[in-house]
Amino acid sequence: MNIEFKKENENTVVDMEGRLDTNTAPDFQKELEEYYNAQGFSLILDFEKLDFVSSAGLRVLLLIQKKSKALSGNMIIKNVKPEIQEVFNMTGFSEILTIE
Amino acid sequence: MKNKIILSADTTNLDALYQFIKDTLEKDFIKGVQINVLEMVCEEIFTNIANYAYQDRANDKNKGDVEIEIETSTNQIIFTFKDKGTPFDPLSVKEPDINMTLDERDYGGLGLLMVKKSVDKIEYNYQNDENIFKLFKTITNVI
Repeated sequence: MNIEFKKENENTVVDMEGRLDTNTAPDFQKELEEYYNAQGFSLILDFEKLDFVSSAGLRVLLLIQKKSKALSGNMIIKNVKPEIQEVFNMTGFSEILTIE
Repeated sequence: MKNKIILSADTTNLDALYQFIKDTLEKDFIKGVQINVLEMVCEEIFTNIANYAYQDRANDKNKGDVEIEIETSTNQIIFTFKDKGTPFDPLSVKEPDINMTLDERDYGGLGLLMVKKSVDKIEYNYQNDENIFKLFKTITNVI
């Protein structure tokens, strides 16, 4: 999986490409660590080029979402493919995450 | 048509598994399925086997094997995963409550739930010292 960071106003936009699976999720978590540990962080994850999210990927998203509550931060996920949206729905994550 | 690959039960082999799925569907001219969904489902099953089936050989160089067969026909794909590890019936795992709030949520049990909801049928058998796990996916919109 490829990850690219860019700054848009106050937000950090993360372009993700490929598969968020059990092999790439730990790297993804590590690369985002400094962002989601900052008070009041604002992350936008762009899923346009993401093929799928496995349960290992969901665990990292859950972790960041929990952090956002603890640190008054914010995580928005955008450009979600229907198949990935389906995974969010079937796991109840669509109720927990902010998806645009 | 039947297509088979044998991989060592190690998650570093996931890319080889994705390639095998892609090659098989192309070779057998299978259309009307979402390949990313099939990859996700196979990732969950393979990772489960890699993490748990051969725990007694965790420090062993030889991790134990997983045999993956993809059988295609005009209206269905059948994935069969076989391993010689600890007997484990994935259907016995309690499903997580998907209505839990953010604070109540923990990190387990999601993978098998995703598999169950993404395929049409699942079968588990333990025969001849092997875990045999079958996933059935119906092909829609056959072109």
